[in-house]
Amino acid sequence: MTVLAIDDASLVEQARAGDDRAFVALFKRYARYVAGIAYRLMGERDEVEDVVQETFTDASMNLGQLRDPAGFKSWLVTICVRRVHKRLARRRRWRWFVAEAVHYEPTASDPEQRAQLVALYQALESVAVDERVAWVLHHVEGETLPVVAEQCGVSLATVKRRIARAEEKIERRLHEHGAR
Amino acid sequence: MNTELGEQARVAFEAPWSDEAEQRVLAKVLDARKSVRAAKPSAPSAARWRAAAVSVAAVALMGVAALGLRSFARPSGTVAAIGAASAGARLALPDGSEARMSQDGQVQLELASAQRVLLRQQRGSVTYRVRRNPARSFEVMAGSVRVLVRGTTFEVSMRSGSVEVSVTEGRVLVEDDRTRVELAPGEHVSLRRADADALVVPDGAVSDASALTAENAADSSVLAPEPRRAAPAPQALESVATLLDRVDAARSSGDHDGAAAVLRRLLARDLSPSQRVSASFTLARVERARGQHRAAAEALAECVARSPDGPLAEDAMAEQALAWERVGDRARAERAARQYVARWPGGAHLARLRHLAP
Repeated sequence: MTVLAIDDASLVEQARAGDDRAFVALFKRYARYVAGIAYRLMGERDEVEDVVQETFTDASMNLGQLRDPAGFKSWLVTICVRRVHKRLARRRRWRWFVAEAVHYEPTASDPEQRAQLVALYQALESVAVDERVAWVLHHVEGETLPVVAEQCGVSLATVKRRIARAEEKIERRLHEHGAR
Repeated sequence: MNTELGEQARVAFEAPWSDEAEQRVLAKVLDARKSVRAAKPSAPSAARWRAAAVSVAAVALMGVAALGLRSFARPSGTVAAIGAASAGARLALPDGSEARMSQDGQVQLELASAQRVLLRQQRGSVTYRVRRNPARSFEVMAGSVRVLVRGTTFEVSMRSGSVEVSVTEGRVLVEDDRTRVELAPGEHVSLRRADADALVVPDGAVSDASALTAENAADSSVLAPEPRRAAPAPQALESVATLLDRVDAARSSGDHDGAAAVLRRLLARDLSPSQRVSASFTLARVERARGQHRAAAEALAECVARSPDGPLAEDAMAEQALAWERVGDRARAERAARQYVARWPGGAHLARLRHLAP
């Protein structure tokens, strides 16, 4: 017998009705995913748990406002992006993966690839928060441009501009550091 | 180039996320969710139950009964509460079940969904007539005592130091931290409230030792008409909460052997279903830390068997597959992995199990 997983929309409806088990199921389904996005957006691990907690707490409080329950995952990312944005905006100095890359062992064991990644995140330091978030969502998380626009709460044209500006700065930085 | 590097970054920088982090964060989120729900009731269910209660009130008023509808969605956080200034006030629930108040009874609706109804009785006596529905659990919390129902008629009376449950029809399961008793028609049980200061055995209490373990006989008694005999003397016994604290302390100090010993003592007790699942899951982690992978796998299998739809089931099934693999029992590992994939096709542990269930 094959038991099919309950879809997001059903779980959202149940969670809205106060069913904690449904909400826990949604949490378990997406907590790691949200943690990954927060980590790659923030560039450090210290605040990841806080962001995941804030994201799901916000989601729990505002489930009633979600118009399309099937779009829960994307909506969750929107909340996460908002939370990350606030935290990044509060920082005086960005702490990207540069330090992390030294201590954390990424899956990539190739030294050249590792050096490229360090250079990439050094380059991201020179990019404005709005641009960086859009770029990471598109190029790192693999989201399509319309989805990134929705998650950032701006128009498609604005997202394209932000990503283009980010790309330009990143390319320039990578060339300056001879990483390419 | 950007896209290529981005993809490399996604693979290289995986989320710093663990089962422990997940449990830690989930506990905080659920606490926040509970607080928010208490402060701001969920509109759909509150409205539905409020409407039900209001319609009941209207009928009752027409019948001259003095309904003491004290509060609906009070600022203090009550989702929907009904109390009776006089005996006979009735709360009709949307599924056809009802709660009838007597002796200043008051009950509060905490949760209503297709799968679960949870009522919290705050005081007095309330008789519940529950419409049978195997797909939905019906629970009444009276202080620290939980009454689980499938379809029956029973009464819950809250005293200063105890909670009494009597069954008229059907069967109910009554449990607290130490006791779990199933009651048949005509039986009733009196359990000491954990929030009471002293052990209370009501006058005329008659204990049916065959229905209780030696441990829980200290503070509970099943009541029946005849014969009468004295209640057993209280015994010194560590509470479940104390044992759980000892487990946490042992784990945090790295004393996995000590933690395992306390957990096994805990599991020998008469725990509630959720406590048993949680303790088994924790034991599995401790056994894994001790390198006892077979014991870990068995504890995880118990978690899944006891609560196949519970919040820990997905993790338990995945960890079970990995534990059997560590034992060297490839067949069991693959079987558990296949069950996981079939059950949670979009699950969080798919990548870790891919080699067992390609």
